[in-house]
Amino acid sequence: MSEPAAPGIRGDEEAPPVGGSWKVLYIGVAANLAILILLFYVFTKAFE
Amino acid sequence: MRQLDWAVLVSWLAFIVAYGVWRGGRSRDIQGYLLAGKEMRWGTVALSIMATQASAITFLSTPGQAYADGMRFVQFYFGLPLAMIVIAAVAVPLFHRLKVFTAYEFLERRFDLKTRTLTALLFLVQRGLAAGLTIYAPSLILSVILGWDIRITIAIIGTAVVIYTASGGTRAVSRTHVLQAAIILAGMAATFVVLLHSLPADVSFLDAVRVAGKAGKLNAIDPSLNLKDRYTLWSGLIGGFFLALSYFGTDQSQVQRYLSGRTVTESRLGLLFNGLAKVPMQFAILFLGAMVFAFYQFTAPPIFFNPAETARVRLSREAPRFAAIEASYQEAVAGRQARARELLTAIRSGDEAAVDAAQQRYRHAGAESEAVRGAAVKVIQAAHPEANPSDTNFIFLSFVVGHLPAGLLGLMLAAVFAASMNSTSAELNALASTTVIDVYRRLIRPNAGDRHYVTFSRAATVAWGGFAVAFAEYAGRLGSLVEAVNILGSLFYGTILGVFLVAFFLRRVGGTAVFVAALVGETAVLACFALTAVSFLWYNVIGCAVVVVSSLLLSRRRP
Repeated sequence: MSEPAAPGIRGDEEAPPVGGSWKVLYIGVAANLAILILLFYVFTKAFE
Repeated sequence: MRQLDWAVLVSWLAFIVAYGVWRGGRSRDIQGYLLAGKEMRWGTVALSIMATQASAITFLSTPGQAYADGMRFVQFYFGLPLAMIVIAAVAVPLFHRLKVFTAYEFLERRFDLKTRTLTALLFLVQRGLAAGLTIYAPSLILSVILGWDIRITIAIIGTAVVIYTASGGTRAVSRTHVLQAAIILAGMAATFVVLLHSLPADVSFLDAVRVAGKAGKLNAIDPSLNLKDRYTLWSGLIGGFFLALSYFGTDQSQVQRYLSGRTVTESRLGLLFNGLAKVPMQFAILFLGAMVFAFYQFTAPPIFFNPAETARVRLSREAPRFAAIEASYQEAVAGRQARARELLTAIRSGDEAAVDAAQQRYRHAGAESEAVRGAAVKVIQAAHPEANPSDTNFIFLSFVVGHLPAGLLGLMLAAVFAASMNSTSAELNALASTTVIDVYRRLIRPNAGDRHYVTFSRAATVAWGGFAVAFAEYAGRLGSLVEAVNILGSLFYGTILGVFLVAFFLRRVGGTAVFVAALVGETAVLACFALTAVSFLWYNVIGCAVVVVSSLLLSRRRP
């Protein structure tokens, strides 16, 4: 588990290109799901 | 099929094989062949993950699902984004850091050889049979709709995939996924545009949406807690999460896609993009199916969407009875069309009481036409008891063949072939990797050079391709065993997921404990299968839970 990183692998904790941290991106994906569920619920109710 | 359609279809198939062989290159080292040299950017990783999961059956069956049952199937995917987060956070850095080729290789580092070998063999059995079905299922639908011999469609898909997958390995698979995804998107978009233009002049897009909604087909969210209902918000979030965690976290056909990312960041971004895009994509496909339903509220649909079965019943002794039912169906459909137009008039008036009354009459007319259709299905089964009473899988392609103009039909059929080739190529690629890395190199010939392993990987890809094609050719004769093979996946997924969850989260559990726990878990699942009426969808949860709990109990006695 403590082997050096492979060539080209720049480490686990490299910051993502957007958002500043992985935590922010994970929250973003979860929030996107929550918004989609809300929109689908409104869609269901609007046309039922 | 017109000449232009043939030209588009044949050109695309020839192009994609040539492109796959070209972009795959001639890898001489095993990392280049099995992990594309770990050089893929996140966009390619993302499209490859999505293309692997979305087989041809996804594009053929999902719109039919919306037509028959509404859009609630979208909830099945709600657990997927959450699983993407867990895999990106936990599995991806571990797999990258350990420089593994397969997910099962990781288990030897974490536990021992026997646990690795057990999970690798479970994967080979399950995915090897599934690869045959991935070819067989769309081939059956295409052959029925187009009137082709099924052996031709199986041979086309199998041969094309084996050529570029064996030649270029993972690089060819990932590169072709990108182009194939583009043509699938183009095909679905073109079909949607044609569908909108095919609506009657006095029925707008919004009218079609309203009719589909009043018919209960836009039921995307069901927040009820009914455990007997397969697709609800909660079953999608919880059950879908476990299923996606199993599939993306432990199935080599998916693990190999994100292991080809050049860095942890590229692999993670690919998975997270899938988490963002998958649910809207499934919603769009289901919405297309709901619009096909709306279209057939103003245009008479076939009484049964499987043309092979209707042709057979017309030649049987039940032909007169079937003709009489068809005449009744035409009357019922005409009545339903009239009620649909009344409903639209009421909606446009804005009078809620009138809308409610018109909706009641429209739904009653719909139930009448469905009852006549049900009688037709009974006659089809009376004529041929082995006939499949469900025509859901044929609805979308029936519309495509009947209504798309020359050229676009060829494009859509190319998209169906593309989807089938996408899934199959990833499966063959993963089967070859596991065969070479977890079995051949680890157990049989550990010290050969890279060129030897690359050559063996190509041979393994061809061999698995031959097995998949042979199984697909034979699958039609298996009858109910085809369903058994679908269940086969659920017999093993729970156990494998349990082993991986223990590996990731229960650090004090050792190899022997988890190996015994895996055997206990698998026995429990097989006992459920043989002795109880528990739905196979629950096997994932049962197998996983038994492995985790047994591991904890056993590790107290033996680490």
